[in-house]
Amino acid sequence: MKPALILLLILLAAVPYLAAQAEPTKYFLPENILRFAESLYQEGDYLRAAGEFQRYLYSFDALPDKADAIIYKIGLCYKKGNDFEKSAATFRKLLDLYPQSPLAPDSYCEIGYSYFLMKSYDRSMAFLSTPMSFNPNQDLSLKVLQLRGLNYLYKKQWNAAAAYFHSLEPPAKKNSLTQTLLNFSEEGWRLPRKSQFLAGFLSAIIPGAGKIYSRRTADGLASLVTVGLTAWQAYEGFHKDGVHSTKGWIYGTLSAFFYVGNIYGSVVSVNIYNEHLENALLEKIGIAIHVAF
Amino acid sequence: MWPFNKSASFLIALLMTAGGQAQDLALNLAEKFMAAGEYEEAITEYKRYIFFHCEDDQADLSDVYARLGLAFGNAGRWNDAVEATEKSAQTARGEKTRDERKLTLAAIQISSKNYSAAKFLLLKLEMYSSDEDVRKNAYFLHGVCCLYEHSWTEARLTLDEYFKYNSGAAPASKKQDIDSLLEKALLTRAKSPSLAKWLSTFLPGAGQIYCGDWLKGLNALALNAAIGYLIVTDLQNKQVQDALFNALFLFQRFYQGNRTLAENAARQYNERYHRQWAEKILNVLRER
Amino acid sequence: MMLALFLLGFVCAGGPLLHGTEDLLAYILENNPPGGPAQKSLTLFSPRDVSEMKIAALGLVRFYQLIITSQDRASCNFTFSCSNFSRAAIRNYGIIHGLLMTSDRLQRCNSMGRKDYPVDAQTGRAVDYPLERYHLGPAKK
Repeated sequence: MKPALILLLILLAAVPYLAAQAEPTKYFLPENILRFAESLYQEGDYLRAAGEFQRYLYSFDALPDKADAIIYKIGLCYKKGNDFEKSAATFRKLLDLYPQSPLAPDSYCEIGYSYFLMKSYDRSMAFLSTPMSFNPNQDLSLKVLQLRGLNYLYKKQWNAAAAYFHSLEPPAKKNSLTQTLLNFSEEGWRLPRKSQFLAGFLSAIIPGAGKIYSRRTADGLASLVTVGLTAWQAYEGFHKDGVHSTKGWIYGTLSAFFYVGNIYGSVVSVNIYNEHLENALLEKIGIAIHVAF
Repeated sequence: MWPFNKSASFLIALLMTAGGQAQDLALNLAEKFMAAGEYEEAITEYKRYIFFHCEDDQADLSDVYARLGLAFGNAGRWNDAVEATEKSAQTARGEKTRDERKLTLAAIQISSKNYSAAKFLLLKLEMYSSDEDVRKNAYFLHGVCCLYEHSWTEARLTLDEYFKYNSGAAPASKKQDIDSLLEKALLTRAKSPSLAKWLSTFLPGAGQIYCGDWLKGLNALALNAAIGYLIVTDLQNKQVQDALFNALFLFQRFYQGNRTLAENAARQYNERYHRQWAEKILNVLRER
Repeated sequence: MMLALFLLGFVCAGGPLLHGTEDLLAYILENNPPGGPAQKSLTLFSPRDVSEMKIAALGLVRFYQLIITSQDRASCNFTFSCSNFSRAAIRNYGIIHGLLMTSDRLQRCNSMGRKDYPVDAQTGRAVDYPLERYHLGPAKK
């Protein structure tokens, strides 16, 4: 009786342990890590997916076959997760490790595009001018040329952009997107900008006139009223009590403060007006390139 | 009549506890990350478990979704926390478990200051849950929610319902403490914003002083008095234009400002006072 | 004793789920403290303000904020008030540019010009453009 009881109790004790150990899930097998990473990517959890793809690579002693595809995927994850610095670094790593990979041309383009998305237009242009370690196909060459021109456009160097697009060879130049970008660069060059000097000069003559010139009518009128009222009060003070008038000096100082500020503000308002014109054009360009890039 | 000697007994006990603690690797990792405060890593491990066990009938996905919800909450991602906890309620096996998950969801909604959604959920649990413990906890959370909203009467009613449940209820002295604090919160008079505004209408700064803000009150009095003095002096010197200018641009602004600020001072005083009472009562509730 | 040990094993196999009113309340109090978030302490000056003239100008604006405009209605047309704009302009661009930008800002702060700016849906006030757009000169590094 006693041995049977002992056996029964030991079995009872072992049941939970055995149940937990039966077929444990092999989470960290490389293929399982990859499956999980893909599911995170499909779900849109890009940064987490990038971490899992990297875990997949680290689960081997040396880089596995088709590691270039995984590194490319990591780069895409960072790009879609808006971490452009890391995406550029990842695509660079792919180029360094697998210069002859079929994904090398796309990676080259993605590096330049990542810098562009980071608004580091100089870095993008500098990179896209470096020689390629592979033979680019026609599509890639075209894309790189267009991306270089885009950097000029987004730096608001309209003349340089127009000259650049004009200098391209016929196959690239005749492409519809290139033509569109060329038209945009000419449009940018011909934008009806206002003159800073004229705005400042107008405001010096008539307070607020410069702001009205830059289409800020309400602000211009406010400047006119402010400077006018304070100047009038200063005049009243000095007229009544002469040079020793406290009221005259207080309102006089205020009037001078607002007068100089009005000239400064008119020049600033012209800058803002011109910036708005350029930003509106850049928005149109953004819509045009959205599909291509 | 224990049939085994001491060594055998110890061995069996050890096996039993080891069996109880053996656990899935991903969940184990997730709990370690949670304990270390690494919530994003914990979220990854919970998601990993869910991915590999989504078609496993043996797996308790409801439990894991609930933990995932708590991890999201700790990471400050409240929308994701609510979504995960809702899924844990949907996948719960058994009515009692489902209701318990809903309690967790209500706690998450209170933590993210979504009081109306929490109350709606808790009301349904109070009315329809078949489990006494769940109903008790629902009343408790409902009371907590009312304290956050500073609704003292409603808090009193719901906490009274909570204390009616005997199983695991707090001692009678705790109920008395809470009752007396709620009584004080209800009876102590807050400041009236309209009275503060009217006081400042007749004497600039009086409303702010009524709310206990002496500095701002004296500041308002001094400023309005100075502007008033300027206007009176101008009128005495027959400088009507200057008097009008000062009245329109200065006195009107700062006098109106003084009235508005008196009203705001009363509202801020009430908000502070309500928050202090809520904190006191919640601390008493938290005591074991 | 053995039974207790046995049960302890299963209890320990659990994790950080919320059981009972203590756990629920502790979770809520940790994530939503009833006293509100910790108040930021007021600092008049930061280590960047090394120039005496800048400190004097910033101090004057702060005096205006504490004594004069604290008695005014919240009447600024912009979400970022003119006095705060002035402090930021003086701090980042010096006295001269700061005063010029302040003068321009005071003249722009009128209800007629609100339509020229994006509007904040919550307060109905205009959202001014970033400070650097109002500075004429080389970009601050």
